[in-house]
Amino acid sequence: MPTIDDLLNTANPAEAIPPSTEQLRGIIGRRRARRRQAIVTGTAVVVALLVVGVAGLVGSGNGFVDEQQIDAVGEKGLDEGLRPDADGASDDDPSDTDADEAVAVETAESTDGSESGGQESETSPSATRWFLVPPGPTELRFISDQHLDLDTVQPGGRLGLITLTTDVSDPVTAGLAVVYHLEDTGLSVFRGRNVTVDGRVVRVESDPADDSVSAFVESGPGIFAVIGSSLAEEQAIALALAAELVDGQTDLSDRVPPGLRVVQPPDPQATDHSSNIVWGPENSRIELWMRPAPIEEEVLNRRYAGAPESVAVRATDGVYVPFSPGQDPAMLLWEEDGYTFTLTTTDDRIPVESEVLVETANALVRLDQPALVERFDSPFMRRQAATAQSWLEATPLPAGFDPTPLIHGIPQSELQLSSHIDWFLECTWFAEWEASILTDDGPRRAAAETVLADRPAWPVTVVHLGIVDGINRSNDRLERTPTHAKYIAEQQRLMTTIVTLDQLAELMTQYGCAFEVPE
Amino acid sequence: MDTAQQTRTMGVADLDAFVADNYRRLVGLLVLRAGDRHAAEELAQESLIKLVKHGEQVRVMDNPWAWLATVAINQSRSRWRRLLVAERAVNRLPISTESGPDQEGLTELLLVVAELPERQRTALLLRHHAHLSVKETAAAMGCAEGTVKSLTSRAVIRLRRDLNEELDDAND
Repeated sequence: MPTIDDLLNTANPAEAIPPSTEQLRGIIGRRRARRRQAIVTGTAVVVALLVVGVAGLVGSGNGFVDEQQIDAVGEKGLDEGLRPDADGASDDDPSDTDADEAVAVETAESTDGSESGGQESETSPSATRWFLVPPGPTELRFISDQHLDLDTVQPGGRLGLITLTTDVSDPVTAGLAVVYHLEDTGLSVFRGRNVTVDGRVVRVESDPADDSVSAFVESGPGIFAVIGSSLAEEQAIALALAAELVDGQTDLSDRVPPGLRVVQPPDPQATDHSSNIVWGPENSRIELWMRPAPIEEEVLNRRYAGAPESVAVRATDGVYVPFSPGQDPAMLLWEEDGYTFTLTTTDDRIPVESEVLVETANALVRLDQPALVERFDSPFMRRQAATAQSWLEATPLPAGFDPTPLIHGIPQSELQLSSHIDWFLECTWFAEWEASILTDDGPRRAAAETVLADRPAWPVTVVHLGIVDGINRSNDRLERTPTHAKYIAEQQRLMTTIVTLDQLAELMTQYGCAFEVPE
Repeated sequence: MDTAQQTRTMGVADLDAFVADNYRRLVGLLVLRAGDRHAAEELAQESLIKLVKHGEQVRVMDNPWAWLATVAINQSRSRWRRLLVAERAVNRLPISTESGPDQEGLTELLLVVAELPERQRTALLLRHHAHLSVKETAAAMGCAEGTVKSLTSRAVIRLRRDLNEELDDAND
């Protein structure tokens, strides 16, 4: 008779090949290189980053709608043309803005009127989707229809970036470069060779393993660095020098290497349910995460976490989890406007006192969405609402479709946008399928199954798979190779494999859909 | 020599051996936890990366396997938060194992385990697959030892019921 252990051990795959520690260290090394890039990318999001609304996706198609409109959409479904069963009423009840105005007042007071969030709220009281950003100086400069932001780091350091690509339509696989300026960082941490250009010494580092090249130029209080993939050394050098000039407020337009232009890259670390931003000097970067959910008990009960302490932060009750040597970084968590915000350090070896995190959290300011989008001035972001709407118009939507869960931050690339909408529609139709089973509604179930079976042909899915396949072809980040055909086969199998509601709920949970697995 | 005993004697130079000895077991744990072989191998790799990063600390631990199993469970628990946007499209696999001597039986086992409530499943796997002690499991789950016993017991009862299988009580 088998034991329980014997039974469970049948899940151990005999043919699985363990990786060597050398391979694992190689992965760690490549990730570190990417992390440097991602850190800068995350900072880029200072401008658009903690945008708490993609309402424009289903808005007028030429921009973003405000929360007042979101509420109306949430209750009534999409615009007339997008909601097959909506009643078509336009329900812009002015009373819906009451809460928004209250938020706006709070914003104005909390930022001493010095930030545009408060100022915007006075001129546009209904535009209340807001964002947390580090306090100034946060400047954006626009050069020849190109995007550049600098001086975005607080506290204690400065960090700017330039992102480059040769192909805006496929930014992930194009030659990306980031330029940043770090204070209190020594060149000695980088290995490479020195190149002298116009009397300036530039440190160059190449890594054939991941096709990356880095260039560093020491200037004044810090270092300007370029880290790029598919980027020639001379381009990296030129960019590093250009960045140095830019910091001196020199026009960059004639310094961008030929064939490149500045765009906003995708955030390689973004996830479907959270956004993050990293800022601060090299050895004490602070990371801010946000999730549209309450604080997780699980986080507070982790084995290695120190004892949580209650702290007052941003006029509410927060939780500080102390640093635990070698295990967990210090964390500060609080809930605000339906989101859980987490402030932590990117390096878990660094202890940070609660006062520091609380001070940092209190210093975060709100910016409203229109102001942020305007300052961001990204070509992609300008067209993403229309792009999203075109995908949604061509996709069957359940009755009473609620776009509110689309609010997870502003996608900065077509990859992010397509992934998010594809995922959201999928979850929505799974929910519709589940509801049809629970209500024993045969026609409704058949309709849901028909739509789900056709999912590989949804416009957004086609676009998304094309991007993913492009990434795979370039071997950029995904080592597996999901072809379109394989994906279609998986979807067909899914409809025949998931046979119980519990399984469906589990699957939807794995996908990140907001459904609970019943106990 | 069981895994726990083996890992307690791990020497400084044996990290590769430790990985080799425990990899299949680690993947098996995560297959049961995540219900998906692909996800399990991905999570196993992430867990081992943490192992390598914390190699110096892990080497001197009494039971590095317990540490690794705990890391793996935590990895799987928050997997959805860490999945990269682009990877989501390729991780939409329903429960599958793709291989194994008893494919049908394994699939059934995975489905039954997947239906266990979260904490029951975690307790069951840490106790009866990862072979952690009650004390170690309690520490990993952040709960009392009595809770571990209760959760494990209920999970075993449900396994017996759902699998309709006679199981030896030796490991209860």
